[in-house]
Amino acid sequence: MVRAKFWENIGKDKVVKYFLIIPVVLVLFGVVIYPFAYSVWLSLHDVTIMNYFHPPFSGVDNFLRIFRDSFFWNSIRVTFTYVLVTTGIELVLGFFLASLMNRNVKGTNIFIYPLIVPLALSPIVVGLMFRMGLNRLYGPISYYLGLLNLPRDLLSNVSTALPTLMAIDIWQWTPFVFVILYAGLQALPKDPFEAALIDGASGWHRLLYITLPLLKPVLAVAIIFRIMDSFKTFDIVFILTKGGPGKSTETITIFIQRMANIQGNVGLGAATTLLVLVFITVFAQFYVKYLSLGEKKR
Amino acid sequence: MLRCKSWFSVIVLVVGLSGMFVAGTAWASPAKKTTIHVLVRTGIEADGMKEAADYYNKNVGSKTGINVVIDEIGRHGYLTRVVTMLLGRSPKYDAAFLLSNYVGELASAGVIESLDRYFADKELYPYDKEKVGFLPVSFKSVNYKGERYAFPFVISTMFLYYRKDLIDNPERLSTWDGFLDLAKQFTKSHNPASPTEFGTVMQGKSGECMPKEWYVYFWSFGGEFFGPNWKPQFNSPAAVEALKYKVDLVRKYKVVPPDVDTYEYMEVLSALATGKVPFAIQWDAAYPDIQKETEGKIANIAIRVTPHKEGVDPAAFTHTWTFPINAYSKHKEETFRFLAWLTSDPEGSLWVAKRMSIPLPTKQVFFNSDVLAVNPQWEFMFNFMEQYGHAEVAIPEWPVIHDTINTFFSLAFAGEITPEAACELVNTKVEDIMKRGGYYK
Repeated sequence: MVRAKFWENIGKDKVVKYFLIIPVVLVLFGVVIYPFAYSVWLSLHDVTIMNYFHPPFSGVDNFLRIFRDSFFWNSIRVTFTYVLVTTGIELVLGFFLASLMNRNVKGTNIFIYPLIVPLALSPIVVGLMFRMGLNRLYGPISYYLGLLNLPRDLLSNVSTALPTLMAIDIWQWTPFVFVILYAGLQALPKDPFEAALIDGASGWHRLLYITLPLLKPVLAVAIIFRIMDSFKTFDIVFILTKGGPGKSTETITIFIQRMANIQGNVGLGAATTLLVLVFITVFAQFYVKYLSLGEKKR
Repeated sequence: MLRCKSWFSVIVLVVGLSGMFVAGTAWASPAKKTTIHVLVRTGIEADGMKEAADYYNKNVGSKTGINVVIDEIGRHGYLTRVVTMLLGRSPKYDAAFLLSNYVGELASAGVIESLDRYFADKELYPYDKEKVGFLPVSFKSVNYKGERYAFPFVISTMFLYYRKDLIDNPERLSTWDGFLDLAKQFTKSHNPASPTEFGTVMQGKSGECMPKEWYVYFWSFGGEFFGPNWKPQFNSPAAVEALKYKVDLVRKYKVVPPDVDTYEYMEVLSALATGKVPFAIQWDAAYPDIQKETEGKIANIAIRVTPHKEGVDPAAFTHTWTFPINAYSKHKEETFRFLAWLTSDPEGSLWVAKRMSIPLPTKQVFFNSDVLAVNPQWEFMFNFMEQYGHAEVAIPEWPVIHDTINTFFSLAFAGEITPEAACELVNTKVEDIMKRGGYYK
C-alpha cells in the first residue's frame, strides 16, 4: 500500500523535490561532511606517517599537546594580529578610495583600473615580487629605502617582519574592499542625501548618520570576506619568511603545515585545524549577533 | 508497451555498438606492452626524464616490453603531494622522485617497496655492482633497517664557491678561522676598501635548507648527531660551537647581509653570480648556472672543499634524490628494470648523465671521460663525497628532528635565544622524540 502510494506520488512536487536535492546532498557529503568527520577522527588518533594505517586512539591527547605548545599560542597571536590589523586598515583605505571615486568627478574613473591591478595578481606572484624587491643585495625597494635612510632589512627584523607582511597584504587586498564598497556606494539611494543637504547636515553628519548605516550590509560582506581570507593567508608568508625570523610571522596556517606536512603528524594538524574552526565559529557568532543587534535597534 | 520496446531496442543497440568498439580496439592494438608511470617534479628533472623515457621507449622498450610514461607535478609542495599519493595507496604511479629524507618514514609506513630481493635477482639486476660503483654514502641515505628502499638517482653536496680574481690564496678558506678572517676583509663595515659590501652569504631562511647548511658546519667542527644507544648530541661542544659560529657571522661580525634569514638557494646563487660576495657555501647544482652567468663578466668562480675546524676533517653534506617503487604498484618488476637501466646500465646511466647532466652517484658515471668533459666539477665532487661524505640519519623520526632543529635555530638567528639555549632545547626535544619512538629500552 505504501509502495503503491510512493510510485503514485513520484510525479508530484513533494517527492520530486527530494530527488532534486539528492545530487547537492551527495556533493555536500563528499566535499564537506565526510572530510570534516574524517578530520575529527584524525584529531582523536595519534596519526603519523609511520603508523598511518593503524593509528592508536589517543582521545584528547592531541588537543592537550597543542594547548601546551607555546608555538601554537604564538601562531594564534600572530594570526589574530594579522587579521585584525589588515582588515581594519583595508576597510578604512578601501572606503576612503571608494568615497573619492564616488564623487563622480569627470575623468577620474580611469584611475579605477590601475587601482585594481594588485587584485589581479596571484598571492604567489606578489610574494615573489616582494621577495626580490626587498632583497638587501639587489632589490629595488631595498635600494630606495636605503636612499631615504630607512631600514632595509624589513623581513629579517623581528619587530618589522610582521608589519611588512601586513603592508603587502594591504597593498594587494585594499582594491578588493574598494571594489565592493564602491559598488555599494553607487547603489545607495540619492534621496536621503538630498534631504540631508536641504536640512543643512554637514559632510561628517551625512557620513555618520546616512552613508555608513545604509552601507552596513555591504560593509559586513566586505569584512567577512577579508577576515575569512586573512585567516587563510599562507602563500605570502610561505614565500617571504616561512614563519621567520624566529617565529615572528608564523601564522596558524604555517603552523598547521609544519605539523601535518613537514613533521608528518597528521593527528596534531587535524586537532589544530579543529581548534581554529572553534575560534572562528565563536568569532562569527559574536559578529553575527552584533550585526543582528544593530538591525534590531533600527 | 510500444514505448518500452523502443527503449529496449535503443539500449541493445548502444550496448552492441560499444561491445564491437571494445573488441575491435583490442584486436587492432599491437602486442601488449606494460606501461609504467613515473612521477617527477616540474623543471629540469621532468624535462630530462621525458627525454630519457623517449629514448628508452624507442631503443629498449621494444625488447623489454615496457613503456615508460613520465608524469609531472609542480615543484611547490611537490614532496607533500608525493607523500600524500603514496599514503593514499594509489597504484597510479609506479615510482616517484623523492628526497632521501622521507625514505625511512615511508618505508616504516610500508608504502614503498624494499628492493633488496630485486637487486639480488640476476635477471632483474644483471649489472656488475663493482663496475657500476654506487657511492656507499648514497645507499646509506636510502637504507632503512638494513634494507635498500630506493634507487639513488641525483646526489647533491655543497661546495665552497669563491671568486678567483679576489681570493688569491684560497688555502686560507680551508679553516673556519680563515673563512671568518677573509669574510671580514671583504666586508665594508670592517674594511672600507673592500670591493664587496659583504664577505659571504648563507641560506638562513627557516625551512628545509637552513639546518642542512648548519650540518656542514656541525660535522666539520667534529660533531655527530647521535652517540651510543641513540643518545642525541645536539648540545655537544661541537654543536654549540658550530651554531655560535654561524649566528656570530650574522649578529656579531655582520659579514653577511642582514636579511640573510630570508635567503634560500636562489638568493645565494644570485649573490655569487652577480659578484656581490667573494665566496659562499652553495649546492653543487648551482655550478653550471654560476659558470654561465659569470662568463665574461667577472673572473670564473672556482670551487673547493668546505672549511673545517683545525684538527677535524672537512664534511661533505650529501643527500640524494631517489626513485622508490610504490608498494602498491601493479608493475614492480617492470619499474625496477627501468630504474636499473636508468641508474646502472652503462648505456642508460651514461645517456642520462650526458644529456641531463644528472650527477648519478656511481663511479661508472662520475669517472667517464665524456661525462667529465661536460661536467668537469664532478671528479672533484665524487672524491669530496667519497672521502668526507656525511648523510642525515635514515630513521622515520628524522623529518621531525630536522624541523625541531630548524625551529630553535631560527630563534637563535633572530636573536631571541642564545645558541647555547637553542642547542639545549633541540637536544631535549630530540631525546623526547627518540623516547616516544621506542629507541630507549
